[in-house]
Amino acid sequence: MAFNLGFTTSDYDQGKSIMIYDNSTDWASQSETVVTVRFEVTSLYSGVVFTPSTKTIDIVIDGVIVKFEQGFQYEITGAELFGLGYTETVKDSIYRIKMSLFNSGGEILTSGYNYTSEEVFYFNAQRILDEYFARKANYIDNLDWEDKDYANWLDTLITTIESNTRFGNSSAIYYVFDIFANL
Amino acid sequence: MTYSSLKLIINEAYANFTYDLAKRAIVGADSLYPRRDIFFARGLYKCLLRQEGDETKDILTKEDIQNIIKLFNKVTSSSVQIEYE
Repeated sequence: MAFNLGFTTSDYDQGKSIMIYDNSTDWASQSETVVTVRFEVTSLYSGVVFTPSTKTIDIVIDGVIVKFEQGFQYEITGAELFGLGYTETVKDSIYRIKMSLFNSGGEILTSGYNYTSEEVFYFNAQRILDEYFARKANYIDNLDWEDKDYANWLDTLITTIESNTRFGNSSAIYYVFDIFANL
Repeated sequence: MTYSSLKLIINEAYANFTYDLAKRAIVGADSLYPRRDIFFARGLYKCLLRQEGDETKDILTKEDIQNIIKLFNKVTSSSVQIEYE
């Protein structure tokens, strides 16, 4: 079994959670018994800091594996990431998510039984770009190369993310958590 | 004019911009549009197309959008009007 993970909100729960799903749909044919799925989430943006720096979320699924035959999915809520009582949208950041599986003997180290999002995905990059333009457009006479470079970088970032989201079944897991996905 | 109609004009202005760009590249006269401006113009264009002209839905205010259209005009040497209903 090999995982084929994807991340999405697609405005899932109004952007208040991260939906993680597995497209491989072959949980029924897996040979290992999975007891726990563990997600380790790290923020790569200094403006969003977890305490401790890596947030670990364990999901115990022992005995209900059949439930996931159609593809495992799990919703990471804002409360799991930022603490109890957090009900706002998931904060704008770059996150890295590692997924690993455990059986009663410990972590399953068989190839294909864990996955780390080596790529990063950006939450709401488009909104950041739009707001940046709006702010800068008030000073159009003073726009310098540095301003343009930053805007261009944001644009390039978004283009890169968009191009990777089109590989639905690849290991590329960029996903724009974009509540204004109107392109 | 509605913002929806204005977007068609912005679309045309951007198409003209890229067409001029291609023409200038062919004749080797691309100094008018530095590379940074090309990407910048594209970012502005995409930003404008993402808006709906309805402040209850857009994250940008009408004034923001109008300012961005001014900026778009400046960067692409276009003359898209900034008034819309």
